[in-house]
This record gives sequence, structure tokens and C-alpha cells, in this order.
Amino acid sequence: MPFNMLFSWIGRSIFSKITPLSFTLLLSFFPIGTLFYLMMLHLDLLTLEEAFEKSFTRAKSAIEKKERALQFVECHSDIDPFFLDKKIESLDLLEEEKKKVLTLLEHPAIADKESLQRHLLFLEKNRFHFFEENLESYKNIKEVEEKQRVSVIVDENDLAKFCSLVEMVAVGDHLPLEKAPQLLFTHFHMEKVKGFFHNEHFQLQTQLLKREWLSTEKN
Amino acid sequence: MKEILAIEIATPFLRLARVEKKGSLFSIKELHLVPLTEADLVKQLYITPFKGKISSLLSNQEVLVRTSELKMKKSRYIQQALAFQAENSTLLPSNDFFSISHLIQKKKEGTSAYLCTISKKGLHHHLQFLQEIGIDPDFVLSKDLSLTAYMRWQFPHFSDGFVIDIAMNEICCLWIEKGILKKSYTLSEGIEALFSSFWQDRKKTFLFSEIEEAAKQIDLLQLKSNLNPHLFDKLSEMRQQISQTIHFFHRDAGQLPLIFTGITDAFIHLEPFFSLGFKELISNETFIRSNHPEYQKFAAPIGSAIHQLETPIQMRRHQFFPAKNWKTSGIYAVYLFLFSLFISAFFYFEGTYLLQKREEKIFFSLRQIEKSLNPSLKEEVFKNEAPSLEKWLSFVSLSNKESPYLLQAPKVSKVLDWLSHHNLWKKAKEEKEAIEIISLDYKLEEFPKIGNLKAPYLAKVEMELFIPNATRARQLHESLLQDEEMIDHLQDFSWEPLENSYLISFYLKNEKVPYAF
Repeated sequence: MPFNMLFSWIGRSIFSKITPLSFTLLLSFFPIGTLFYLMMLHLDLLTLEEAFEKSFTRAKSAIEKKERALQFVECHSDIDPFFLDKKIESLDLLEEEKKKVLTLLEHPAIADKESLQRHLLFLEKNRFHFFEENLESYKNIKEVEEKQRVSVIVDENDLAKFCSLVEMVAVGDHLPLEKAPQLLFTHFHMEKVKGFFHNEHFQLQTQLLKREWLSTEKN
Repeated sequence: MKEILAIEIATPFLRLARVEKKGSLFSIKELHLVPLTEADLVKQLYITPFKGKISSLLSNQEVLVRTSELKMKKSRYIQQALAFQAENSTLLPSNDFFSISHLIQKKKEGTSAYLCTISKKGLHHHLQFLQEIGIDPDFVLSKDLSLTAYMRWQFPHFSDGFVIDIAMNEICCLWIEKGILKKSYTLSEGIEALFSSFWQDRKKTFLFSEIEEAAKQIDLLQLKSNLNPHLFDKLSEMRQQISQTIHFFHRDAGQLPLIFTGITDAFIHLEPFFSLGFKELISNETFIRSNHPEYQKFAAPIGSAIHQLETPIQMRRHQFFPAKNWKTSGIYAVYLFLFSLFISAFFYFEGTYLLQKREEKIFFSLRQIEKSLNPSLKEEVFKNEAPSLEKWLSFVSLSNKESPYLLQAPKVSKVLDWLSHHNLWKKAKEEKEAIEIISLDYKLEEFPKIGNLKAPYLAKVEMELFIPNATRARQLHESLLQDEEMIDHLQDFSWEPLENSYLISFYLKNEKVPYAF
């Protein structure tokens, strides 16, 4: 019978070449190999479970940080590229003093109007002027240093307004504007000086870092 | 319970013995003398319900058995040493003979073993003969080893002695020492030769078929050579050969008892007749007999069955290995292989099922997380694809740190606000000893920017203050040193009195939560 011959052939082929112990070890290779493979999968899954478990504790903080970053970038995306020109360099500084000088210039009792004229000229020139330096870009971010050409004289109100615009914080009645680039004071130098009318002013020299995001891509 | 059916070819008969072993006890179940012409009767004995094995006896003329002593105790090397000895201790050509070894006992002093050299031709003829009568034995054992096993079982106190087995075609002489076969010699003629010689003397009186019965009437001690010349000569020849063999054994063995087995009743006084030639070499005058005289004639097959039940020796090696054993082992191999595959498959499917369940649990939790996220964050994390664990874990590990673009150092406006609302500052103002800022310098000495996003935020403040009196100055100095809100005390702090003012510098402590907008 063919099956008898087949079994005889199998028995002879195996046991004439290897001992029963070796055959048993060979057979145990399959289940042991399978168990080994499953153990590897189990260990991988265990690592994954532990990592997932740990991620729960960190997820809340990660989400908060990510949301903070996304909102930040959204706030500084699609901004007015002339923000610095339109909002900061256009600021009228020492307005009260200017009004006072104009009033005095029109007053007939004032004899020496020359100094007032000179001071008015100074007040008109007293503006923020920034020039750009070290432009860098990375992905959709543009970064540039803005340096003040000359120092300006400001009063407390101007200082509050300037800080509010640059640092996007509410200072007194001054509120931050939307669609502004990120501006950081990299250097802020303030010195107390005596004003024209012997009032307290501050001489200001600043350097800014301006960043803007060019599209809605977040990073 | 195990059982063996042992078959001895004793032409024109087959001697069969069926022996059972229960625990350590042997019991003889059946003894048969079957004519070769009725060999089909043998089949009845080993078909169902018989579940044991079949053992056959190979003539001593086809096997050479020697005892070997090895001074080794570790079994790991014994088998190798015995195999080496077995192959190399004979000059017989390996094409016609093969050798096997069989461990007898392990003692403190060493190990003893049988070395058996078997004639391939003899074994082939033996198996072919049995095949012709429809018998395929599972084991083959030599006659001398079978008789030794019989002696150990039937005469437990007979540890040293001579054994003479008288069969139809041969006479075996054995020397047994401590229950182990020491030496053996086989005469190539047996009772049949005596019957032939006797018939030569009496063919005028008897038919050959009647000779056996007639022989039982012949007293060998009274035999006259003139009346039965052929028989007398044959008997004398056989006696001489047996005597020579016993003399040969005696040289090393000394005086030992003697037992006869086999067909000892073929003639009257057969045993004393044969032992006349070496009477002085044996120690017993009366011959030792079994309590079961019927066992005596079947000593060889009984011994074969007992030996195989105790410590099986397999002389059917190499090309003589039983085909049915290969078939059985092949079947077992296939079953074991399938079982192994089945077990492996079971482990695999069960294991992967359980692992998959655990994985699904994780993904269920992940989907819950995905549902709880706002759309922009969901897009950021999973990029409009199915939620995957790798993306989630990657997001958590990468996002669990603040964006470097978010300012972490205190802002200038905050510093100014802090100073203006400082307790001492307000108190000094109220008490008309106002502290005035002469100058203030704020500098971001280090901060992340494109090309160096990992730089920390490090903001330094230097200010020159006008403080009206030393007490106020000292108070302010102490207050600043103890400040926990704005000043980073791990960095440098300096307080330098000038002519009309004080120069103070310190580093700012970074915010815990950075400014977003």
C-alpha cells in the first residue's frame, strides 16, 4: 500500500539519520519558535501600552502647549506687512507738549517764539524710525532685526502706548492691535531727561526682533 | 504489562514461547512446538488480541558474542567507546559483518558490555526463512544470550556454571560467570544428526519418521558400537567435541556446575553420556533440573523473550531493521509533526487573537482621544488620516515642550509694572522719599531665533536708581535679594553704590507659562 511505503520511507529517512531526541528537539522548534515570536509581539505591545499609558499623563500638557502655539501663530499670520510703518513709526510723540507749544506760538504775549519754533521742529522730527537688519527665513517664518536709527523722547503716555503696541499687552487705556507681527524687545534703553518745560521725559533707544508667519501653516 | 512471542527455528519444527511481564515478574503463557509445514498456526499467536512483539533466535553460528570490560563510569562516553571497540575488535570484513554493543552493567570499577559481531549473510537467510513462513520479527537475538537469560531467570542461584543446550541442528556450550555469558561454542550438529546416524543403523527396521520414538528407547550408557555403529561414532564424535569445549572453558573457569537444556530426552541417559568425557571438570554429580521440566526444552525461546523484556537487544540493524518498525516510527513521526504544527497553530492564533484584543483596546482609547480634540489640533496631529498610535505618541513627545517662538522672559512692560507697584516703591512715594529711575536697560542676552532655536531666554536688567537715603536703599537691596517673582537668583546679581545713585543689575526669571498673545 502506498501509505505503508510512505510511512516506512519517512521513518527510515528521519530515524536512520537522527536520534529520536534530536527529532523531538526539531519538532519542538515549531511551538517554541511560535511562542518566541508571540513573546516578541507581546513585548512590543507591552512597550506600546506603556508608552500609551505615559502619553495620557503628558497629553493634557502637550495639547495645551500645542494649542497655545497654534493660536500664537494664527495671531501672527497674514499680518499687515507695514505694521511697523503704519502703527509705530506713525505715532505722534509728546502730543500734549506739541499742543502746548502751538498754543504758545499763537499767544501774542510770548516774545521769544524762536525757541518755540525750534522745539516744534524738534517735536515734528521726534518719531520712531527703524531700519532692518539680518533678515532670516525658515519655512514660512520671516525674522528681521529692527533697529532705531535715532533715540526718541517720549513721555509716560507715549511709553505706555509704545510698549502696548510692541509687546501686545494692555497698558492703561492702550490696547494691543490685531494682525500684528511678533515684536520682541531685544534691547530697551530708557533714560530720564528733563523736557522743554522742565517736565519728566524719557529718552528711548530700542532694538526689536520682528517675526511674521507668511501662511496659515503652523509649526 | 508487556509480552513477547519468541520463535526458535528447530528444523523441522518451530519452538515458540509466549512470555508476559507484569512488574518484575515473568510468566510463561504458552509453549508450542509447531511443524514447519504448519507454520500458519504461528500467525494465530501474534494476531489480535496479541499486542506484544516478536523475537526470533539467530543461530550462534552466525553471531560471535564477546564480553568487554571498560574502566569508564561516565555513560556519555561509554556508548562511543563501546561502538569503537565493537567496530575494531574483529578482523572480519565489514562488508560481510557488522558489530553492535550492549551495556550489561555499570559498576564502581567500570562497565561491562557484550560485543556482538553478526554475519549479514546469516541474518539475511534467517530473516528470509522467517519471511517465507510469514513471520517478521521485531527483534533478533543470539541463542547463547537467550540461554544465559533463561539461566538467570530459572536458576537465580546459578550465577557461575556451564550450560549445554541440545537442539535439533546444533549443540551450544556456554560458560556463564556471575550471570553473564563469558564464552560460548556451538557444534554444528545436533539431535537430527544423531537421528540420521541411528536411522543408518536401523533403516531396515524403522522408517525415518519412526526413529524419534525408537531413539527414546536407547540407553546411551548401554550402547554397543557393534549394534549401532553409526550412532556410536556420531555420539563419540559429539562427546569429544563437547569435552574439548568444556576443557577449554575449564582452563579459565575452574570446576563449575553443569546444566543441560533442550532436547535431553531424545535418548536415555543422554546427559550422563555426554558428560562422561569431562566428569572431573564439573562440580555437580546430579544434574540440576527445573521445577518445570517442560521449560527445559524451550529454554532458548523462553530466554530470548525474557531478555528482550528485560533489556532488549536489537540485532536487526542497518538494512535489516524491521520495515514495520520504520512504518510505525514513520507514523509516529507524522503524528508528532502534525501535533507540533497543530500546537504551533493553536499558540499562534490564540496568541495573535489575544494580542489583537489588547491592540484594539488601545485604538479604542485613541479614537476617544481623537473625538475630544478640536478640529485644528486633530488635523495637526493626525493629518486628516485615520488615527494611528505612532502619530499620537510622536505628537505627545514632540509637543510636550513650548514653541521656542513664545517669549518666556518677562516683558519690558511687566518689569516696569513690577517696579512701579513694588511695595517699597509705593511706600517711599507715600513718605515723600520717592525712588527714581535714572536709567533702565533691558536686554535679551540670549533667545531662540532662526538658526538657533534651542537657545534659552535670558533677559538682563540694569538700572540706575536714585534712592534718597541709605536706609531705603538697604531695604530695597534686601527686598530685591528676597524677591521670588521677577529675579533669577541663580544668575548674577549686583548692587553698586555710586556717588548719588545705585547701579543694580540682575537677570529675570522666565515665566512658567510663556506669552502666547
